[in-house]
Amino acid sequence: MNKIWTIAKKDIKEAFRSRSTYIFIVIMLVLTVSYFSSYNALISGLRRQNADLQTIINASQVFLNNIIYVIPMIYSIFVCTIFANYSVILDKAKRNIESLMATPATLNQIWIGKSLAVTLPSIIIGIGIAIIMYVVMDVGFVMPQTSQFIVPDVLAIVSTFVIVPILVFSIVMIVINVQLVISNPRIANFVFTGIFLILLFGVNALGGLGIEVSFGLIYIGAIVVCAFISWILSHSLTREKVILSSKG
Amino acid sequence: MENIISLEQISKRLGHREILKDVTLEVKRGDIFGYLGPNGAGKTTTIRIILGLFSPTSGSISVLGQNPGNDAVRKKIGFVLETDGLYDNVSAYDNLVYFARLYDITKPVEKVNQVIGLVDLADRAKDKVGTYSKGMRQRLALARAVLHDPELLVLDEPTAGVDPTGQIEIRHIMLDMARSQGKTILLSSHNLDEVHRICNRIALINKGQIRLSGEVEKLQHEMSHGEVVIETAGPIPPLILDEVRSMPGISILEQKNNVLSLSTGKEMDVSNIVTLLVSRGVSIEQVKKQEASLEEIYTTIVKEAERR
Repeated sequence: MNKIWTIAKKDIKEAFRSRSTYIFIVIMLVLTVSYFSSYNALISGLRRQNADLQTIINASQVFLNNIIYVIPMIYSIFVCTIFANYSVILDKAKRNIESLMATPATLNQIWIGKSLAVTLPSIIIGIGIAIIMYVVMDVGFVMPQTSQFIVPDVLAIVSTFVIVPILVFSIVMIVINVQLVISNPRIANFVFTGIFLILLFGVNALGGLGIEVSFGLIYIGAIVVCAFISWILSHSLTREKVILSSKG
Repeated sequence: MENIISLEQISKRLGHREILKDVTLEVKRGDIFGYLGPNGAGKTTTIRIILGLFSPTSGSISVLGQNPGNDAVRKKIGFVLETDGLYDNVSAYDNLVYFARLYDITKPVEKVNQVIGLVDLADRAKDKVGTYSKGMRQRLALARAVLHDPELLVLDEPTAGVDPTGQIEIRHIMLDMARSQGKTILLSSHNLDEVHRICNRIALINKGQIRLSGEVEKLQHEMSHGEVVIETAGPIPPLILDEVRSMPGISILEQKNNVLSLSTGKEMDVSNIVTLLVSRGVSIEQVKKQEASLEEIYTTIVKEAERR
């Protein structure tokens, strides 16, 4: 476990020494604006239909639940693309990975350490932004409409703090494994981008329609699938493949 | 003497290319073993197999009595690879602490302070490695290699790209490690002078095959053309020269001033010539047997392999 933390800590430190990490965080904060306009569109629609207060409260609850389910997930996935650059892509490009492979750290320790280096900061940043966004949304946009602070349901909270981190870690494990063995590891980053875009536009669309999706169940199913894929991939990971796929 | 590295008929195929063909190699405890060969000869692949990074297609290998694929063996091996593997955005000190933790060193900070002094980088320890010169980086990589007090050091071109002063410093560090700390060193290098200065045994690989291996002095003797240079106090009279010329297997290559160069054949005992000259009243100042230089050996073997 010590070696896993050693590998993860070093990679995280390196990522936070880069300015691009902070630029990405600012971009994400800017992206949150789209949710505020989606909510306004939803409420305006309900008002046009002369909806009563309870309907507006229910619709707001659904919208906020969607935020708390989805924002930590999509933002974490988005941040993963930056941290994966430092954890694997740069290491392979500079061929530092070969020296790491020659240490007594096992392949699994390296794999998990690098996956944690990507997951941990991404989750912390993703959840942090989600909490800020929820509070701003609730206080600044929902309360003026409903006159009450809507508390997210328990499942949404469990999802944010337990299920989403596990799911992000499961996805990262797969991406890192693929990055370790392919000669152009940047390609694997498209997995993150793909998931990010699907969630971003999908949830915005669903939120706009006032449809509630059972994210908890979808996430748990996805974790099981990812765990199975990781298990399969773990059997094909070798030091030789990692080195041969590194530049040079 | 105990074998630290033992490769027996190791072959390695990558795709359709056969990188190593029946490589057999032995490195004994205490050796500074020079591993020579042109670019693409298979040196790095051999090193990767020794470090357990690649598995051989066929053949058997033992490093420190174990299979190098075993993670525990790596704890006993220190390495400097072609790329130094150091992190530019991190200080030299943090780089070493990172690796110290990967080697489970119990007091990493103490150990790091010790080795960083050994390579004379203590005053730059807190600087980012990205600001280091090539020579400083290689010294730091050497410090990393000995952090965990390994029994075996595998060094892949540790002086490549380093200026002459840096090369001398690195060479001194390597010699110190071998002599005062008793490390066994496998040194892959293109620098024949360096190998000649510090290695007691060598192997030469070309096109994936070991072409020659053994003790440096023995090889130099075996590969020599049996040339002897005799320096005398004065010129040798022509009659005496004729007598020398008539000795079996001897031909005079050159006689200039007080220096006589002879071709004697490998098996000829030089003392017979010396005895003859002394008995004829010639005063001898120096006798030098011309051994083949490592450069000559290298060139001969590589050219021979190219012709095949």
